[in-house]
Amino acid sequence: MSFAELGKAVRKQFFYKFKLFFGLFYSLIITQAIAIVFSFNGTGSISSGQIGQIHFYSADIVLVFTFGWAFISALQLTTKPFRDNEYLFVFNRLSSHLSNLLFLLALSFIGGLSAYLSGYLLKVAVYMFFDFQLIGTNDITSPAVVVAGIITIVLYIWMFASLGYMVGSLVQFQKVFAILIPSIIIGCLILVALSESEAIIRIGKFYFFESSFLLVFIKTTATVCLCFLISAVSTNHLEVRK
Amino acid sequence: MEVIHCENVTKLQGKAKALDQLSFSIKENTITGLIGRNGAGKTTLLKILGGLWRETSGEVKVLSRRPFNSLYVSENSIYIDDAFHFPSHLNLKEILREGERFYPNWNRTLAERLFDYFEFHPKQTHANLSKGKRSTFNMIIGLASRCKVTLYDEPTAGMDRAVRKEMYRVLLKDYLEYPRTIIISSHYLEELEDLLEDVLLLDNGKKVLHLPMDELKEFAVGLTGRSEVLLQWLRGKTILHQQNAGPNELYAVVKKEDISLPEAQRLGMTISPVSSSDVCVYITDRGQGGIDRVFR
Amino acid sequence: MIVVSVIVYLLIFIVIFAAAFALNKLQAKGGFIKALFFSYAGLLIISSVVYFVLPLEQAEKAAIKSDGPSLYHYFETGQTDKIDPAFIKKQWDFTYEGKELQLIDNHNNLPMTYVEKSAEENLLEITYYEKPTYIDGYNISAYTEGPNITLSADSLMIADYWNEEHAIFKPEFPFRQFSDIRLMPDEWGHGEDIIHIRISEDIQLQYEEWQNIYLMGE
Repeated sequence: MSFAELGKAVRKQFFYKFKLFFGLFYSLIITQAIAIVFSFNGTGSISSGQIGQIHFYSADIVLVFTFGWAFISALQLTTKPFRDNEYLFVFNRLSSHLSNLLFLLALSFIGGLSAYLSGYLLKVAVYMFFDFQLIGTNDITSPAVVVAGIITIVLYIWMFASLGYMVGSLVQFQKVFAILIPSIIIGCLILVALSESEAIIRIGKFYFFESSFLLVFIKTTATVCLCFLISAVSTNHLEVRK
Repeated sequence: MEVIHCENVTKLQGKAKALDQLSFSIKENTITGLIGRNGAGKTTLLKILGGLWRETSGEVKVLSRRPFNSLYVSENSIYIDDAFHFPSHLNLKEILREGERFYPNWNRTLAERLFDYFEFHPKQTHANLSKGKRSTFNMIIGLASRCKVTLYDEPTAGMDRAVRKEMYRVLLKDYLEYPRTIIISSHYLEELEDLLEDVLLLDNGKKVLHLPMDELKEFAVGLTGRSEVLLQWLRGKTILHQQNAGPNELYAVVKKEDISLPEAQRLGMTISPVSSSDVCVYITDRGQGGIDRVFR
Repeated sequence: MIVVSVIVYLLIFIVIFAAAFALNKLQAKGGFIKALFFSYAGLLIISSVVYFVLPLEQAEKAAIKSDGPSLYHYFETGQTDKIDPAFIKKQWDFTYEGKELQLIDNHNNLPMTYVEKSAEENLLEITYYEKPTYIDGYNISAYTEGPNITLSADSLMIADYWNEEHAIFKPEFPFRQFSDIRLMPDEWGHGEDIIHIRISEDIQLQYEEWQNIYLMGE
């Protein structure tokens, strides 16, 4: 199987999946709409007698909801009804994974862009419909930061998608993972809470507090590659149309 | 040239052997019928040949490659049954368009003409089709794809007789115009007699016979005559099937090569031909007397 | 505490997950989804354009000025006359004939209020001093009005303190990663504010224990 053939097949599958899974955009819109409504609550506030109350607004909640959506959608890609849809045309395991990877990237891009723009929607709505005095906008002035930020959003979403894909693949590989993985996660959370350790915060900081764009890029893409590797290896013998 | 080659192929499903040490080869550009009772392993075999399932042991080669996980085999073969999983929001016209994009040999004219002939509406969705219509549509895809290896798994399920006959005609005509290797599994062997070149009969996952259709038609003969005479004469030979044909009269089916026809005539027996589908049924019969035993 | 918040977040996530899962299963018509998608996209683009066109006043960002002496210090040491007049935000001058004055505030929360007795008759002079608060570099005090003080027949009403609400927009967290902006500011330039009441000796000021009233000179 040459690269050219593989590339051709991946390309065809990619466009096919776009048409096939268009319904995912429906859940994206609903998820983000709900998140925007939640965001009207503000992402923080400060109050004191002297200044009254200051509400902070940003689209952080939309971003986080989009992470969840990406995770779920990617996970569903690995389930039978979605997988069975692709066997009838040209595919093999490797090309299937690659086209899923690219498709999820495209999804992440669209989800990320809309999450970013939803910030403007939110802020315009706050300005127009809420009675608060707007003090400042903290607008980012450097285009480099804007571009880096948008790319980072897309990368984070892609990362969550690949995590979902990996979890889904593992479950397809051995059904037992369906119970194992949630148990491990809940167990870890309980352990962390009990021992008051900072483990989760440190993991979060590893990804989300990194201020060098290059490092963010490397960390996220490495995680994506790792997840896909695990997915590919675990589903290599997977049959379709059982 | 051998397009399909299986050697000692076994497929386990749980503990059960769906295929058991199966060995056979199929030459290029032939139409082979895959016959057998339900559960004989036909679907299993076809899905393995099409690369959907993985063999447990043995060697499977389609177009000289192992079909499972092979992009090449996937591109040059197609597996059609009546239970396709088409997405419910793509309509029929769009599905055909996707087929064209994926398969290099796709014949659009044929697809469109058949589509119109069988009165499909472009905007219909696959899920809304009746069972027979769905089978028809799926067969159109199989035909138009013009894959080197085309595998039909009971493709005529649910079709009414008229449509079935038409489909067989189309299949044959297109095959003549564009030869390829075709395997059809079906229950309607008698309808396919004119279509098939070879027959591969499976039972319990094992190969029972693999013969050209002509030979299969001549495989067995039916003898009708007085019971004692018949039984006496046939002692030691394999009786494929027997049933009462009247008071003291017996009807027995034996392999043609096992007996001498002139001698049978001399003994006063009536010789009748046995259709290929009957041969297959008798050979894979579960027990002596068959279903009649239930009523005895 | 962390356990509770983690569990709450988990529950929220599970709800989102379940909703997205169910929605994905739902095969809505292709045409409907397309229309929805393009209207959503259109809405986003339009609001982005509107955002940049809107006359959003931008306050000047200033460096935090929390230097300078504490206003409280002046009051504690009785040196109120030394306070820079620039810190006076509002002033009220009333003449009060009565003998008793009830101090009411409608939010049950006053800033530090110093009462100074004076020999002058019928004097009721109120000054609101303020040292500005800076958040995110914005001078918040420029946007606040301070309390509204009204005098009626027998009471002094200090109203609308703690009342005002403002908004500050923040960029989303990946942008904050790459710049210096934090969601919740780590440090503010804390301001101070004091109400200074100069009142005649003859007038009896009535107030409750919990109101932040301090008598000067004691």
